[in-house]
Amino acid sequence: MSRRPIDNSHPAQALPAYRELERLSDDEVMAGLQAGAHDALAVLFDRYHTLVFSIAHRIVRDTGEAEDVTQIVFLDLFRAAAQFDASKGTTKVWLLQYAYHRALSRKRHLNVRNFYDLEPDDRVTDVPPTSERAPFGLSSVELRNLLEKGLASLTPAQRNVIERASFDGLSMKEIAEQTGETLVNVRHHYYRGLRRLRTFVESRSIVDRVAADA
Amino acid sequence: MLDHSYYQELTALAAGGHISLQEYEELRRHVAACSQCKRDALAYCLIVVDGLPAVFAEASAGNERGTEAPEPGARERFLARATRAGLRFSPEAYAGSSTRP
Repeated sequence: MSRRPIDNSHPAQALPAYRELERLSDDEVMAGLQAGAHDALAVLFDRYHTLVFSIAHRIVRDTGEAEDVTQIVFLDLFRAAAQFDASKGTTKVWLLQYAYHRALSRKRHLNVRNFYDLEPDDRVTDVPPTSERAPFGLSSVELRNLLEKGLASLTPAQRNVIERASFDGLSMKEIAEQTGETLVNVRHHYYRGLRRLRTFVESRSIVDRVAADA
Repeated sequence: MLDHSYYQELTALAAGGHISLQEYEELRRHVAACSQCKRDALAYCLIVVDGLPAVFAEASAGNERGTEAPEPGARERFLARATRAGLRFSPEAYAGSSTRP
């Protein structure tokens, strides 16, 4: 999702009204948003802001920061609406994927800022997932499916560290304190786990490509 | 000169933001001259930034209900910020959902 300016050029009278949008499915509301119905964003906010806030709060652990992340997630959703492709996944999952992405970015920034007493920096160009990017020659859906299988192949210690870091937003030090392991070991589990996931994804994507070409 | 495996581990940790600024500087200097670590860093970033959030978003979409409540007035503050950013909502949207608690 690129940070383009808000486009106000759509004629409001030709777009579905708020009360009508309220009765539509997520994908239909998203289509309204893509057509320029700003009220559609209010409808999606009503439906999902508590869930987005919960994810953000779990990761950044600060009410004000979590609310700011939530607002940014929905504003960026509006800016990136044109990139949404309903055939690649649901509006809800797309939104939550970006919520994780944004909250984890904010947590990383807060960790640095707290340590070095820096000012917030929102100049970071943060891009939500799009179907246009094709890491490892895979679509985002294929990558997600492979990673689900790859996570199941990790050792319990590797999976635990990666889940706590990516799902709960914990630092390596926090995970070490919670698990009683040394920081060196926790970092090593994270590295080994990611390396194994990468090998898993790369080997499967090659197998799939060869099978498709055969 | 540190062992190359040291930098390989740093590339993975850096993808999740789990290294210090000093380690980041070391890694930045190394990656500038090491194409292998540059490729590693990109691959780990794709997994951590694109892939894993998608996995956990899918799980959250099915399982989470959003138990942590935002502060009162969150909706009004969001609409005000969005309006300042240039969005235009109808009076009904500002008034809120007819089914909203």
